[in-house]
Amino acid sequence: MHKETELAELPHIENRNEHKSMYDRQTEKELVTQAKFDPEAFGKLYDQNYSAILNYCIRRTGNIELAQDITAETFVKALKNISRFEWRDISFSSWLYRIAGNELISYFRKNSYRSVSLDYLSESHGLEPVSPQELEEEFIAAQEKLERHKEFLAIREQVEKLKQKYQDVIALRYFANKSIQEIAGILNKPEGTIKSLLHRGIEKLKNQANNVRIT
Amino acid sequence: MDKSNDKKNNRHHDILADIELPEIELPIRQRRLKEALLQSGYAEKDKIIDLAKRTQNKGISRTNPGIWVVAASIVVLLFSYGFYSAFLTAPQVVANITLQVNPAINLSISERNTVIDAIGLDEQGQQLLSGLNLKGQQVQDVLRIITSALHDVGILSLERRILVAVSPVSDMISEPDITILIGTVRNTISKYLMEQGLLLDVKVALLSEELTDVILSSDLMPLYYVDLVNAVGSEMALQVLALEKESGIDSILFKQELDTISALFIDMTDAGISAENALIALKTALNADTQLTMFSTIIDALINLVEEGLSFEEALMTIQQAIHTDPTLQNFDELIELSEDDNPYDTDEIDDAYEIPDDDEKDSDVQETDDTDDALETPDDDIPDSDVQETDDTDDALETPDDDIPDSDVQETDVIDDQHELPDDDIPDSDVQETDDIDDQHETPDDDIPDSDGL
Repeated sequence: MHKETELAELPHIENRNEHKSMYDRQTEKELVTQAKFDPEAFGKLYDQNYSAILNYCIRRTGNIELAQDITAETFVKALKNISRFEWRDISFSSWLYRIAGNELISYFRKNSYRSVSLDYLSESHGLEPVSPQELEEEFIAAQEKLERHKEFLAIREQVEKLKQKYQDVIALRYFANKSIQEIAGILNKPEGTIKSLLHRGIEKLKNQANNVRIT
Repeated sequence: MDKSNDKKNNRHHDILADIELPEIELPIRQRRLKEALLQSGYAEKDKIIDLAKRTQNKGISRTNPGIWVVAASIVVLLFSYGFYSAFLTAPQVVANITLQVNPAINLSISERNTVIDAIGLDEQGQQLLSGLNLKGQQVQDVLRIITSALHDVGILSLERRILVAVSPVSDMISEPDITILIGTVRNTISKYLMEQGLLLDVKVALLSEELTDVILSSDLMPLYYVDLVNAVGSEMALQVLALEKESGIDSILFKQELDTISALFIDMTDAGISAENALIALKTALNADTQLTMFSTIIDALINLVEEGLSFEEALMTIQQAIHTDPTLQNFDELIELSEDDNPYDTDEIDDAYEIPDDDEKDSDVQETDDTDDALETPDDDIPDSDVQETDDTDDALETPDDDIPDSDVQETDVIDDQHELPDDDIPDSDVQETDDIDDQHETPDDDIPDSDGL
């Protein structure tokens, strides 16, 4: 029985998390309203979500530089379109996952990715000067950390062989720890479909594992 | 599915659930990206003001345009009005050139390639032109001045390509003349870019007169159609644009999504689908989804089916059946799945998928996780009685005479059955439950979720 199941048996913890979650959502909602005219508010939303989106992209692609590009593009598009974003059944963070998901689909379909935003940002704005060496060191450290997760990387490779729709649900469920409800919101599909895709995706993953030992 | 399969499946699920995920941090990059985003956020607010200041001061000054200016596009529209040729002694205006690089500019040119007039088509275009005197100059010189101005305000430095569209509107201009004009525009811009060390692609598309009319009347941005024209030609691009009216889609919505529509069209042709068939597929998708929330899913599914070996006609029929079965498209993916899974193994898969007990479904994340766990871990004989009863109930429901079931529902069930070519008595209980699921899903529209497909 894993942790989430244990939590289910402790209602007071669940309630506390629920209250915290409600508080976070309210704060996020207020920030989104503010961010439509105040870039600083967008900055706060960025701080809250950057790491999650970056790591989701890294876990999907297994490539830090590519993930960084997709993350940048995601936030640029979010900033560009935040005035259009309306808080209804999907939270801002889920919306970010949806944008990132679209970018990932674009990458997987073409097997290449052209990030417009990051190049532009580095070329056209007076960014804080950082030596190439510092950037390189940061990248190497991140790469080494990623390479230590051999088991994850093996599974990720197998997941990447699945059809896009299975990849999406499995990655959101297990690489981003999203609930079925959240995944349904992000992918704009009914929860029943998500469960079905999840189940079948795992089944297909199992079949692939006949040739690659990951169990 | 037997229990040994279940155990294997569970093991796999456990590995996924328990896997240690990498947590990577890139603090330097994170900080730099944030600063750039904030700067660009402020810059966008001030952009129009800056541009106005620039033109007022000395014509050109540095500013920070918004980061969402992602692709420069220059449209060169060449109008050659027949009647002008009869009055060559008059103003000799025989052509127009429109440049659009977000500031949008229209240039009227003579048949001697001199600029007769320059008009800003939007506020920024007007501001950009306000400090420039372009009349009477050669097209090459004007293009250079404008490109230089765009470079100086920072737009070209962030652009990755420049799109050029040339459109003759009369037979009065010969093909060689058009070719010369295209060459002039391309060479002028490319030469300037090379001199400035800017590595930007310059793409040129030749628009038909008819397409030009549609584009002008629709206020479309070249960013959305130049790729399409380059990929499939003016004639087919025109037919794609005509889908707006044919499908009854809201005009603004169509324009907003035109880049996605074009990209999907190109994706289909990349996948080996002929342009004519791609158009049929687009029509099918757009007719089925006039709100444009699912059309990319529909086209993606069609491409998948074709790439999996189905003929276009078979793939299209599958898509049409799914749309017919569930016009709400809420279950589109599921129906496509069903049509794909036509071998015994996959039938088992479907059965298993619907062994997920619904009575565990709750809103909280924790319970949802348990729900999924249960679904994956519960062998057949562990299905709670309530579920069995539910399935029986559904069986009964399906056996109910037609007057208890709306015609559309009956038809939906028939279509699903037909797709699997299974006689009724071969339909496993899980399929019955699946129909039940579909009905439930119909009751949960997701219309309120903001769409980011076009992002």
